[in-house]
Amino acid sequence: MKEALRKAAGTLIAALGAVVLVSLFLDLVPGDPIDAILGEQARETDRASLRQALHLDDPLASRLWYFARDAATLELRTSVPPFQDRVFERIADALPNTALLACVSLLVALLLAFPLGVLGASRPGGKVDAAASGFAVLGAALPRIWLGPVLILVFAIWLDWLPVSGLEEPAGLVLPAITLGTALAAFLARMIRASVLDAVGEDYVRTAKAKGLPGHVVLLKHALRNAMLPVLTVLGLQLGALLGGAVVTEKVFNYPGMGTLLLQAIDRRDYNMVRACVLTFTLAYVAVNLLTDIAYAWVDPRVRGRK
Amino acid sequence: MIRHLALALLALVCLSACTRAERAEHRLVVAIEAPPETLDRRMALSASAMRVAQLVTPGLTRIDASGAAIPDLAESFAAADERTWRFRLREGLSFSDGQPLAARDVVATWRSVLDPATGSPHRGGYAYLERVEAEDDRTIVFHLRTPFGAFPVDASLGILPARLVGPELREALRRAPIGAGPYVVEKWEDEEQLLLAPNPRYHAGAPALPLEIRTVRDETTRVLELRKGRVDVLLNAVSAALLPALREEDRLRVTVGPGAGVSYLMFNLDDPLLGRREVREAIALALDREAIARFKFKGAARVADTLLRPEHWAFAPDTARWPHDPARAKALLDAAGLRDPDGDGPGVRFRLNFKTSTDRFRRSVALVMAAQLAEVGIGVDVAPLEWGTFMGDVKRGNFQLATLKLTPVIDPDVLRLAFHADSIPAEANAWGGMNRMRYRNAQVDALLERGRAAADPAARAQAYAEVQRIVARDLPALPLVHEDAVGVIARDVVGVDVDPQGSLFSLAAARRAP
Repeated sequence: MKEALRKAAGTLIAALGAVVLVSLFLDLVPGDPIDAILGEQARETDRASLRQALHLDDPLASRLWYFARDAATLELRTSVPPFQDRVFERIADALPNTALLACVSLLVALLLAFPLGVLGASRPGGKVDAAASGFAVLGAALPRIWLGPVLILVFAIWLDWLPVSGLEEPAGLVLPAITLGTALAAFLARMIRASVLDAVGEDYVRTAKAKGLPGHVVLLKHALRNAMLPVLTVLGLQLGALLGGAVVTEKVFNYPGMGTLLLQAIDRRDYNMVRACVLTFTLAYVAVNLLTDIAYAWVDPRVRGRK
Repeated sequence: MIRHLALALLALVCLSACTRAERAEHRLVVAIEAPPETLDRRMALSASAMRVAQLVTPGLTRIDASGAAIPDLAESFAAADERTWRFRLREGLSFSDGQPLAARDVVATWRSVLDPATGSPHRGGYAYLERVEAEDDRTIVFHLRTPFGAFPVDASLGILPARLVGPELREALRRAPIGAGPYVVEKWEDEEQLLLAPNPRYHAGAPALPLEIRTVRDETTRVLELRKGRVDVLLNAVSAALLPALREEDRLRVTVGPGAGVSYLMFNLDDPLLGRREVREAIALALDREAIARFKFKGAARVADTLLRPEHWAFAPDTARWPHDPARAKALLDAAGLRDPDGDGPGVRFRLNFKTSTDRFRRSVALVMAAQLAEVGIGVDVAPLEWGTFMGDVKRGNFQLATLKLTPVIDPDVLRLAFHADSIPAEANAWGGMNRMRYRNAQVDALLERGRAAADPAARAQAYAEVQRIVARDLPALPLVHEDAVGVIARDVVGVDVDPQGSLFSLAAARRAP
């Protein structure tokens, strides 16, 4: 109970901190949001009235208070004319899409990384290991802004198997998931390989081998499970980051998720939307961390016993 | 494991092949860069919202390719005097729902914009309006507080049915306004896709094809969708660098026409060096704008002599020109006592800072200009700045040279924003003016005011021609190039024109060639 309270308080502080920081940063960004919203040919009276409507001249504290009040009642609306969109409705539309993309990308990454990592670790320095290392370097080095369009060119234009962009059909998920998953897989494969290699050197693995267990059982059952802890930590962090919207990938694939929403909010200088997106990211991150903690306990019985 | 993955991917591919939404072959698909925030023209701020709203709710006038207002829902309009404009509606107009469109609808729409309860961001812009009245079913009279010759341009505001303009219906109007335009809103559920159906009651005849407006934010993706045939039309949504490659495509047609955007080089006249006319003239002569248009804009631009394009109704053809002439530039600088210490060597006569945005294209143009200026011994330090910082510096006069693009140039009243002394950004005008060069010329101010007040287009054209002539001589800014409007259109689509202002209006005339 006490633990739960502490977690809740921590979450609240994190959310509050994130919103305050972002608001501060938005203030520090040079340039006049009025220019971005009205354009440079706008007339003075319109500029002045919009400035007032956006509370731009109010102190930061009162702007934060307006935000907190409207956010708490879910009444928060976009801060650019025509001021009509409810921010949280837009987020509720975008977040499931981003969550779906994050999970599928993670799945793609795991499906690629596990075999590569484990095979690499089973014969360090062998051909498979070299190939896996090559893939890891390549995957980490290819920027998404390049990989995305190349995948579109090959699979959507030349081969004509998949749609170019959008999420009007489930297949629209494939290319963005591969784009995101590849870089992540490269990183995870290295991680898994190193982790498994560490575990293979441990006493209990020698014991298992001494018992006469076949190599693959030792590797998969004894070494791999113990090698999972650091991998889980990384997975949790990466999932949290993915939930923050993969801005570049979402833009390239015109994917209707949080990244697109945030990018557009920044473009329009829609401060309420930017703050609400950041708030959502923070909460998502905290939630994923919680899930990671639970997963720890499931993988490692020692964590369960500890209080 | 790998085999499972391959199978899963294969399954997904098959699934996509089966479920792929059948694109209605007859539907015309246009991709835009940013979604409209509303379809209610009274509330629209972004260019994309205004363009899309115009397709559904046109106004009394619309803007033609020369930047002039021409009748749309109105059959004719005229100024009774400088403060009174009378508009006559076409006969037999009706909204897309079948209700007749009469003068009271026009009056109600305009009054709603002026009503603070509506919350239109354009209310302040129409502060010159005193009242709007219907004289009879087809005649509307606008009474102005102050004379405003560009009023017919403002009269392009979209007209809504009188019964729908109340603030309580704002939400409904935002998503599906009713108008008398070529199209009716059919479906707009998410930002990415807007479906418009032809309006059979449109006064100029219903369009042949339904329209789908898709938002595709990434430029590369827009072009790839076009290549794949999922998009038919891109209007002003590709950069010049891609044009050579797109011209190679068999199934695409690249159409380049005059555009309403002009880029210009600003001189800070408060700077001791740039305050000297001969220095500005030398810079103008040292720049090879022809080469910039050909090589940087890939031919999709023309050298500009004034901020108005040659096709514009108020363009003055007889202004001072500044052709590329490095020898004369050097002579001018020598005569001004700004000698090159080592002739053609690396030493410079003087150094200037040149601010630009971080936009890669704009930066690369600035670098070319810097290289051209180096040829005559002017050292230029190009400083690309993040947009907000850049605009902040430029407004506050913290620059020597800077480039900007003015778009769209519709009414020549925009020259007042650029060159009137009252348009020098300051606290008083909320840092809003565009005279960042800090140009002060009482004669120009008087002409700009005359052009703004006069109702007669000929009198206006005369005043603005004089402004263009004086400004081309005084050179507070050097117009660089008129940037062309670019359309990339599937070959089987005919009838689409590329509008200088970026209007989507010509889509209503599109047909598919058999």
